[in-house]
Parts: sequence; structure tokens; C-alpha cells
Amino acid sequence: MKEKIGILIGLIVAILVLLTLALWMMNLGTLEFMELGLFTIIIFLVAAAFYVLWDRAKNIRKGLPAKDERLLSISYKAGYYGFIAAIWSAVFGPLFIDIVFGYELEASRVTALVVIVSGIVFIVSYLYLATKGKNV
Amino acid sequence: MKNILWYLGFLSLLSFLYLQNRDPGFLLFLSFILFFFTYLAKKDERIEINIGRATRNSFLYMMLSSATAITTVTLTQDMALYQWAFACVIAGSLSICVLSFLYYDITGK
Repeated sequence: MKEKIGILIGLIVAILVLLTLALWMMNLGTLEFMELGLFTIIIFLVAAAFYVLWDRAKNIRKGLPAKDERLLSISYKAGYYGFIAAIWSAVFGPLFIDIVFGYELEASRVTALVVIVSGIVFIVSYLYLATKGKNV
Repeated sequence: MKNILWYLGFLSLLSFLYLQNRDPGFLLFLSFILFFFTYLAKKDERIEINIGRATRNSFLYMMLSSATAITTVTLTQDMALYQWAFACVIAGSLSICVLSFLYYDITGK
């Protein structure tokens, strides 16, 4: 039951992210190249999240636990890397973009940058560790 | 799991910016100095798992609070809210990281 609730919460969060994305896109009006790139990245992140949820739901249907010990340790490790990436991107992301592109990021874009960078780091390290069979 | 958490301690160096423009907000970066102490932590499997859990909780908080901030500001069209939201995201995630670690460490869960 607890695992089903976890999957349900994950689904709700993924749907909320999609709704947030839709609101953000509607607010933008015209789509530029940068926004299109961000949109693609977020869609990739949501698709990866749906894949992880589908994998867990499949395990439950087979009567197995949604996450075994290995997947748990992989999610801790991926969360660890995601957290580190979020902090560093929040502090140095605006500085990096200012130096490289000469463009001062607005607060809204810094928040979006943190979500995107840490999300990418989390999902890429999760998928890498899960497919390579690496453990803690 | 390789300990890369202690590198966050270097963010405390940003507090030196206070000397340049006397903005006390920069002194908050001194709180990152605590992350240097994780370098001295023993390589214990339980501690590593607790660090993993604490940072995962913090990561989840950061994702949810950032999404909430973006949605709220978009709906209210109040861009001034962003600076407060950003401070809440960062300060909240650091607090959750430390408090979660202490919780798992003290309760032994």
C-alpha cells in the first residue's frame, strides 16, 4: 500500500510539473530557441520520471517490492548528486552565464536553471547507476 | 559513495564579498563552513546511507518548492516574490539536509 501511495505521489508530481510547464509556456507567448531547448529538457526529465514510475508499477503488478535494496541505494546516491548539482548551479550558474554569454539571469530563470540542472544530474546518474549495475 | 559534500564548504568563501559591499546577506554564506566537517566523518556505511537519504530529501524539497515558486509567481504575476522564493528554496534545502541527517543519525533509522 505504501509503495502504491509513493507511485501515486510521483504521478501527481509529474503531472504538476507538466501543468507548470504548460503555464510557463503559455506565459511566454512566442517560443524562442532557448525556450524550446528548455522545453525539450523538461520533457526528457518528465519522460524519464514516468519510466521510473512505470518500472516500479510493473514490479508491484508482479508481486515484487517496487524498489529493492539496490534501487534504494541508487536513488539515495542519485539524490545526493542532484542536491550537490542544485547548490552549485544556484550559486555559480548565474555567474557562469554572465561571464560566458554576457547575460544577467533573472531570478525566475535561476530557479528554472536549478530545477533543470539538478533534475538532469539526478535522472542521468539514476539511469546510469541502474543500467551499469553500480551500487553504493 | 565518494564524499563530495565537503566541497560545499568552499561556498563559505563567498562571505568575503561582505568586505567589498558591506551587504550582511553575504555573511549567510558562512553557514556553508559546516560542510567542511563532513570531510572528517568516518567512512561508515550507515553514515553514507544517512547522508544519501538526507540529500535525497533535500533534493526532493528543492524540486517541489521550485515548482511551487514558479507556479505561484506565474499565477500571481508578482515577480518580486522570486527573490524570497529563491532564498526559501536554498535555505530550506540546506536545513532539510542537516535536520534529516540528524534525525536519521539520532533515531538510528
